Amino acid sequence: MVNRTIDTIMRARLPIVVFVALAAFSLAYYVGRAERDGVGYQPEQPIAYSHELHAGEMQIDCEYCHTEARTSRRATVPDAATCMNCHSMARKDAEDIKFLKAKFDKGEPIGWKRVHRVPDYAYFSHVSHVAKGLECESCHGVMEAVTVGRQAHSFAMGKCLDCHRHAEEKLPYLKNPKNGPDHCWACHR
Amino acid sequence: MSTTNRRKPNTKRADEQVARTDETGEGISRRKFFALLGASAAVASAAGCADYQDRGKIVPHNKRPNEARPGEIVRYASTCKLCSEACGLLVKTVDGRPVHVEGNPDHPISGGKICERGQAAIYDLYDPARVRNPKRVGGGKYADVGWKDVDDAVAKAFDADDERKIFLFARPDASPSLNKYIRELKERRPNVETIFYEQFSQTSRTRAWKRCYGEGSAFPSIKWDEAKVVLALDSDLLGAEIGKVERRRLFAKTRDVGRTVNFSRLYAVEGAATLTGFFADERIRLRPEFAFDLALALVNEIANVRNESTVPLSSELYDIAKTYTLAKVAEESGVDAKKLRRVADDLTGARGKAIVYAGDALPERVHVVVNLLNAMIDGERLYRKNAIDAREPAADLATLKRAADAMRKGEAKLAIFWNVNPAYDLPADLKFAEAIEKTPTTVALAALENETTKRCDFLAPIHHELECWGDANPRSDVYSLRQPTIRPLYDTRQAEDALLSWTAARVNGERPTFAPNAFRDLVKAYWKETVHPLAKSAPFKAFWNAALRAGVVRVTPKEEAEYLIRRENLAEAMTPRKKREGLTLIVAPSYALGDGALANNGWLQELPHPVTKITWDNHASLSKATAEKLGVATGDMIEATIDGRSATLPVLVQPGLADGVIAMETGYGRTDCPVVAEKVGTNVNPLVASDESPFVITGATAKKVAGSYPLAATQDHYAFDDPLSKDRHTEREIIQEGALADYKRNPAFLHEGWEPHMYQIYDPHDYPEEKWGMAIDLNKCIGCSTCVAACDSENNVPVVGKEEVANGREMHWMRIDRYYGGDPDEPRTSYQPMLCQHCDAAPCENVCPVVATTHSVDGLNQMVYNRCVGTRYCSNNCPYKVRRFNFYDYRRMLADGYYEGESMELKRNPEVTVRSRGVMEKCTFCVQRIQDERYRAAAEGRALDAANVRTACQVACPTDAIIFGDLNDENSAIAETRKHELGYAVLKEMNTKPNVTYVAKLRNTHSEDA
Repeated sequence: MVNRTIDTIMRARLPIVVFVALAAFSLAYYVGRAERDGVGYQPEQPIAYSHELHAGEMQIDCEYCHTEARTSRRATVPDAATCMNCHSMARKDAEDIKFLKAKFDKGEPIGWKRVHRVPDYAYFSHVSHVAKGLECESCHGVMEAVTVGRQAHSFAMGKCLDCHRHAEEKLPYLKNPKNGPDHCWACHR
Repeated sequence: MSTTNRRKPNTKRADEQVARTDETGEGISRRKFFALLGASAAVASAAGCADYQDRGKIVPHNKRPNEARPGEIVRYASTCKLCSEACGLLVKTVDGRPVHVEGNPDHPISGGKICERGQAAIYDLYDPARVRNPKRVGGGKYADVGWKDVDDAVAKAFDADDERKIFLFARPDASPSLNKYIRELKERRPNVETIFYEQFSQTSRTRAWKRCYGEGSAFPSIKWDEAKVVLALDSDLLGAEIGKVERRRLFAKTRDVGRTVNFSRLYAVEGAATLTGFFADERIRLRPEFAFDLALALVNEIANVRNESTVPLSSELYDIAKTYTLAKVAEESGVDAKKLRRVADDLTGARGKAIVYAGDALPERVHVVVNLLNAMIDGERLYRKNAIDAREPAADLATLKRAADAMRKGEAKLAIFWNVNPAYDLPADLKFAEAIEKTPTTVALAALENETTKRCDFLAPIHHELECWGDANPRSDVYSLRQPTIRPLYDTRQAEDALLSWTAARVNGERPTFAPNAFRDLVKAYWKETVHPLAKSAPFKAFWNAALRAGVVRVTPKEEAEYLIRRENLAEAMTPRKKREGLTLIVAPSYALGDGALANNGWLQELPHPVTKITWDNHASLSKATAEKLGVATGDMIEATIDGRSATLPVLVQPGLADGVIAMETGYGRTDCPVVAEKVGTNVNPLVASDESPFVITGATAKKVAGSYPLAATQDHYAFDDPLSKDRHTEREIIQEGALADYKRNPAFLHEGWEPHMYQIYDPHDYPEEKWGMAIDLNKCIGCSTCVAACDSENNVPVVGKEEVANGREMHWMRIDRYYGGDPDEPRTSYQPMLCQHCDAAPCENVCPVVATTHSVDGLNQMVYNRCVGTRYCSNNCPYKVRRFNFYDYRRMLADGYYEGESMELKRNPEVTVRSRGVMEKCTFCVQRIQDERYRAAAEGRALDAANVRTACQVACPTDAIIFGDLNDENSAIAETRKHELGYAVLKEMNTKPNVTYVAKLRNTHSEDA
């Protein structure tokens, strides 16, 4: 009798339990992965700025606002004065532009919600990538197509290394694709 | 003097500390504040779980200034204000914060170098203890007031209609604009007396110089790089004395193994054991009171005995000199006469290329004899004719005594103390503390609380040098500018601005309002009027902007100096002093802290003394024979007494000291000061009296007193005279040296007899592009530790405190190993900077269980903090012992969470990770600078240029002993050095294949000794 119970447990219940547990974990792991990596993160911004409108429809170059992408570690988020270059004239009546102008006139900076973030211990440099011919969209996705800024790809180390190790395959548009460094101190120090 | 009264360093864990209540019981303590801050942050983060993806905000400027590029390094040229040497600086700023300081390579005096203090002084800008607003002081308590209260009090005294004196005490300043203003002020208000003084200044040197070469003359700059023979007479000329930065740089040029014909010979005659003495080729132990006798005996030997003097002696001088002979000095002082005769041989043999340099602490009469001696051996040819000292001479003790007496008698109505601390650093017989209290109005312009501010009526907080405008004219051919590199952090004023507003001419009896840039305008006006015409440059605006950008302007002085010694005045200055029986005390400025003004700087407190390797303390150094005579050993307490004044401090038995000498450093034992400096070491200033030579004290007694005291040294491994460990460093070929003569005979002498039978089980790495390497030339390394200070600043190296140093847990990525060899009384001392060797076959790499330390494609041994779990296997397996482990989070573990202060966070180099507890760390070859060059190369679309990568230690090294570069580039300096026949790797028998190699030191000793 006892043996039969143990037998049932070992032969039927245990495998089922183990299977269900593993399946649940794997499912949760893969389904939750994108969110863990922050893919799709799209916070609400103080101003409903639309990349689709500015970069897509009006074809304003990325570097008009993100001025330092080609020269510096940080691409930089534009100062309010850059917005005011146009918006001192354009769409002065819109609520958001009024808000922008008020901030600008008071000399207060605008705190944009941060969308993309590389961990503290990774020292990322825009210039190294942009100067080698990488398109913004390879990391940031097609910003021309999104209204509110959103994270398109994972920024986990594995994703960096995908391109660093397989440049030809992942970045086919490069003229002479060369693998990036993959030693630790290339990014961490 | 027990260890319990030393509050710092406190090795209590952070959580324990936070739990303790405030000792003073007054309001909320800093510690408590941070505890609350931490708790609220924890609550905030718990609440934030709902939005765990939140990444904070990016807050761009409202209107970004053109030059502000977030995260990029911007360098500004400026001028150091720590001492009147006024070295040129390049201040590295990131996002508007100064984070590191380097020398300005265009500066003709400092030539791109600064000293260890200048390197660490940037921490003082962010010192959490800085006084942030004006204070009224009463009964030793500080109360907040406004600037108006200070201004009113000063104005009341200044404008009072009487002729009582107004004293301004300040540090010697090389600023020509300030000195001009002070002269004009003196004409306008004759009762204002300005006294520029420093505890350790060059007053005896300048006085002797004026006696020898006339009142209008000033000490010239010396061509150290052309000297063949240098005699340092009780002078730490490469170590602590003013002018060291230039001397180190120029002197090292005579130590180039590529040009051995130019090799100089350095003699050091000294009583204490200084860095200079241990670097010297020949070192003679002589009690400092015999310096005068020796100098005169050399005069006698050269002029009378050998008749080789260029300058004939007058009969008067002849009579004085003839009573001194080398034999007599040798007999009285116990020095080998043969050695002294060799000094005379070499000085006359290298005529025109030989120079004698007497120490700053020696009395005027020694300097007079030395000036004569230099004239006799044509040493004057090494004096530059168009580069002479342009600074106002510092006040001597007689002037200070007069001022103190006047103040005590109530003849003064106002005294202003600008960045000076007379209550601590002046001899007690001047009774300065009393003088301050007897003066009706006293104001201290200071950045930190100190013994003087506590006794004043007001503490007026001042800017740090990096927040200041200013200029300097240290030498007749050099003008430099100082510019602010950060907006003032607190409600402080630039001291000059405050003085200008206090002393400005009254218009209709009204005093003018305070102008925050008054001194800048004064400097600008001076430059327009005086410097611009000298520079013969185009319009002033362009000239000024160019000067600000370059930091320095070189001019050609109108007149050339003539060096004709006036022999007629000298005899009267050569009166000998009777030598008192007993011990001789030598009081020197602290190597790192100077006169104690920098005592609140933890980085300097923890910088190991270059000779003793002791941190966080001063001590009495004694030779073995003296210690035995007094019955004391290292760690015992000794009481030194002179004329009823005494000081008790711990003993260190120090090889190489003259017998009968007790050497000690001042700058310690501060009392009324912020937490870092407080009660560290012993105040030895009570031993000093306002005497002819206050810092060389004869006739002292000493006795052992009860108690013992642990000294924390970074290197005390192996007793020096233990037969088991003695000379192991040379036997194991960690230190390899030779005599210059041997090298000239056989350049390959070093590597003879070495046949490698090496076997490596791992495959060698490939280095397809760069392979970084370093070489350290031990011929040039003087052990000064400037590199260590620079490394601390560049790489966010924490301060760990005394107890942790005693536990062997100091965090310096670089250490200067000091080895003693040979006879304990006449040690042969060697210095060796030791840092991660970045081995090609690194023993640390293959023992890490989590692959946290690996080899990079460009030859670096990488340490990845995020992978490290702290097993410490790597450190255990490292034969060089260069890996440092974070036993605590050192930002938080020190007393009062001192280094956690929000202002300290501003200092950190954003390009280097701040490590926390449980992580191993080590030298990275400044990988952030390598990466910076990669970024810049990419941005400029060019290939990486290895010459642009210079490590922090390399830039800082005052003698350019450190060479760094790409070994794969055959033409690079590093590849050349690597091939040199004097090059060697430490512990090469382990086949670790280090990427740091050393160039063996050649000692230019006498051939008969070799």
